[in-house]
Amino acid sequence: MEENNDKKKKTKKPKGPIRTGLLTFLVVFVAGIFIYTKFFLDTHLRWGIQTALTYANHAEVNVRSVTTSFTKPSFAIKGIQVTDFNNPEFNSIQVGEASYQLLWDALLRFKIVIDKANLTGLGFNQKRKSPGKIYPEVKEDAEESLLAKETKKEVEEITNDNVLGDVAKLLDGGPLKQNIKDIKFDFKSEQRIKELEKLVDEKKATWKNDVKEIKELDKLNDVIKRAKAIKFDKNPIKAAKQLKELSALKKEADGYIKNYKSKISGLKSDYTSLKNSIGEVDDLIKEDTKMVQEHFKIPEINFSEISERVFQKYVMSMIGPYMKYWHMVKEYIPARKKNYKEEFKEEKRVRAAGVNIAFPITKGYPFFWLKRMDISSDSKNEDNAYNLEGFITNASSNEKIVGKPMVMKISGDAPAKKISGISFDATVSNKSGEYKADVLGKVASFPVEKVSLSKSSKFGLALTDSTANTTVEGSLGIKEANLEMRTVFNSIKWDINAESEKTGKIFNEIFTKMPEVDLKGRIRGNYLKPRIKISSNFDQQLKAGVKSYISGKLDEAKAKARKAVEDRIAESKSKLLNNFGATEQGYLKPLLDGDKKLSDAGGIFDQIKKEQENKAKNKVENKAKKELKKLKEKLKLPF
Amino acid sequence: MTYILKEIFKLIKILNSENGTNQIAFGLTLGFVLGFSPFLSLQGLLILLLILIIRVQAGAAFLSAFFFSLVAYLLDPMFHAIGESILMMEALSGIFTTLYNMPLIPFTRFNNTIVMGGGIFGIVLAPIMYYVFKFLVSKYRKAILERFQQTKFWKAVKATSFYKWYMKYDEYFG
Repeated sequence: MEENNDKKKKTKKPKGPIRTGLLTFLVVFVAGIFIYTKFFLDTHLRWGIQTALTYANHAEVNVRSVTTSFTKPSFAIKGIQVTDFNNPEFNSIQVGEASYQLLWDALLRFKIVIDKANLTGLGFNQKRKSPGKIYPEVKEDAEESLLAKETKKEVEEITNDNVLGDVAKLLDGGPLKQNIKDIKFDFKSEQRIKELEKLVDEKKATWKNDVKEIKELDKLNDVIKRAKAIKFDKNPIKAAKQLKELSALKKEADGYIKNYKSKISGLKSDYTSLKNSIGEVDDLIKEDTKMVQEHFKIPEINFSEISERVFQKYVMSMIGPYMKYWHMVKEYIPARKKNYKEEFKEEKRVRAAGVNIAFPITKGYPFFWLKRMDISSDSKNEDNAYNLEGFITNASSNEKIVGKPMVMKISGDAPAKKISGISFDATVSNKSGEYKADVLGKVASFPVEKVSLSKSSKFGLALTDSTANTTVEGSLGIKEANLEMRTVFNSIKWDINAESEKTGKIFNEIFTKMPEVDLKGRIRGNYLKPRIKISSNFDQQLKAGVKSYISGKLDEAKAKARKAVEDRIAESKSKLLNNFGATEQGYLKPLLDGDKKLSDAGGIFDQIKKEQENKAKNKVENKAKKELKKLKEKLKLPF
Repeated sequence: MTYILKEIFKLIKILNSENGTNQIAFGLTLGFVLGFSPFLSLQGLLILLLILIIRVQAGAAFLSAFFFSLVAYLLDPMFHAIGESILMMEALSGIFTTLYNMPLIPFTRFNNTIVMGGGIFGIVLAPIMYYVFKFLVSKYRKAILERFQQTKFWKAVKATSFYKWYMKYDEYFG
């Protein structure tokens, strides 16, 4: 048995210096990674990109293939189709191929530097082979919901009756066909006048006693009388006593004055408050007039705002979607760094920190740098309608390392869509410490199929079959946008649908003389709630056209509404004003007189005291002079 | 964690046997160098890989790394001084600038005074420490282990049936 064990021990091979088992495991592990990257990675990446983009877009995004290479670090994505959420039969954006060539040198420093990139087959609003799926059930974040709500609100605004509908109603004969006097209204002003009448009577009763007291000032006058009656004695001791008595009277008088003044102040404040309440009746009359106007649907037509209200939806549809995308993109833009040195700050370590010695950087990269991307698109390809050519250079996460801002230039046309002269120039810079994009986009000519300007059951107006040119210029910051847009619609055909034949005829006459509309828009402020200012020659042309038809009708209707209110309350208002007016003479005047008397009363005591002091002073001076004269005579002085 | 515990048990076993002095000493030396360098650094990972690939006593290496990383806290001021004097040497600034701008090398954090000082200290002393550890292991076996094996307690343990069973088990499956 022992021999066998010995044999076993003898046959056991001595182990070498390398753990071959572990090395084998490592070789198998590396081989596994190699096989995965060679045969499965691209498929999984394609699926991952497709899923992530679909999730972000809330509508189907297709990716035909993804090819990666590790020997020459590169990847290419082919056949990207982004379904338009609002129109799933179309792609909002499509890309034939996007390929990127990276640098190993940068990857070994954990940096992403794209040396060369190509974007080909770029197209917009192309029809899909089959409609893309949309995912409205995907939960939107709060900001996204806000955007959606804003868009919905605008759609409702345009589909509902707008200011053009009001103009149409006026043309049709105007409101107030019904007699105003036939309608029974509860006017707020009338109710308030009744309340105020009651209040004035109540106040008058309360003020009566106080005003009487202030008019007479009995107690104060009595104290003053006693003070004036004091005859100061020659004896200084008695005079001092009398002065003390005078001070006591002054103190008593001060108490009365204070009391009276407080009463006067209270009465004045009451009076002013009542006066203000009566003044508010005029505001209530305006409110009542407005109520009558609303009842009879008398519109407030401000011609200078017509363009703003009519074209707002159109301007938002032109710029809004792109602002939404910028809003999404800017979330991923690196946050502002306080200063450049922060990028090279010392890392926190668990162990004692030590000191990092900084050697000169002779070859450094920002975390992300797209050196150049060429963009192209050819309409000869049947899937695409656009001829585009352009480039993006120096898109980086740190402009200071690269030394240049990001520049984007694209130009082209789409003959099949009758779009010509497309150009888009953008410069994105963070030189000032915060990202800012200056953009200039132009389209020399594009067709406009239909722009609905007003849509209701009784009146509809749309701009159809025209061509337009547009320019968008401005800047996009991290938080705010500042964009100006100008669009000129040419050879417009107007689509007018009016219930009333008369209105239709008038509008036809006006709009046939309006073949061109020059629209200017300015968008400023926060991306989610921008301030939009729109102006155009549409206002003036419409105003000039309808002036002769509606001139006076609107003012007449408004005047009627105001008169209806004023007539109802005229008698009670006049009564209230007369009653209150009488209080001014009977109450306010005595108050003001009393106030003056009280101011004078304080001085009377000082005057008495001063007189006594002067008397005493003169007496001492006269006595001194007499004594000096006697002394001179005694000494027989020559002077 | 299971692997580390297993290796530590192995260390106790080998330490108490007559073999593997060089393996233990080499393991302790690599742990000594690892303890003086930041764990999450390129050189730290390389030493770890070396411990796993070369047939050194890994348990000894891990225990040594743990112990010397605690010692390193006390020696940080000295490492800082050594590192600073090396990094500020005029003659080496060219080499350091080149290394600083090379890919991967900056992940060693060699430009930090403590990392440089600790690294140089560990590498320079490693050959000496190898012989020191070797001497200490043989000393332990002679001075402590032999004496312990002569104690009545150990003899009593050796006489138990559990010990005999364990030795048999270890012979076949250990």
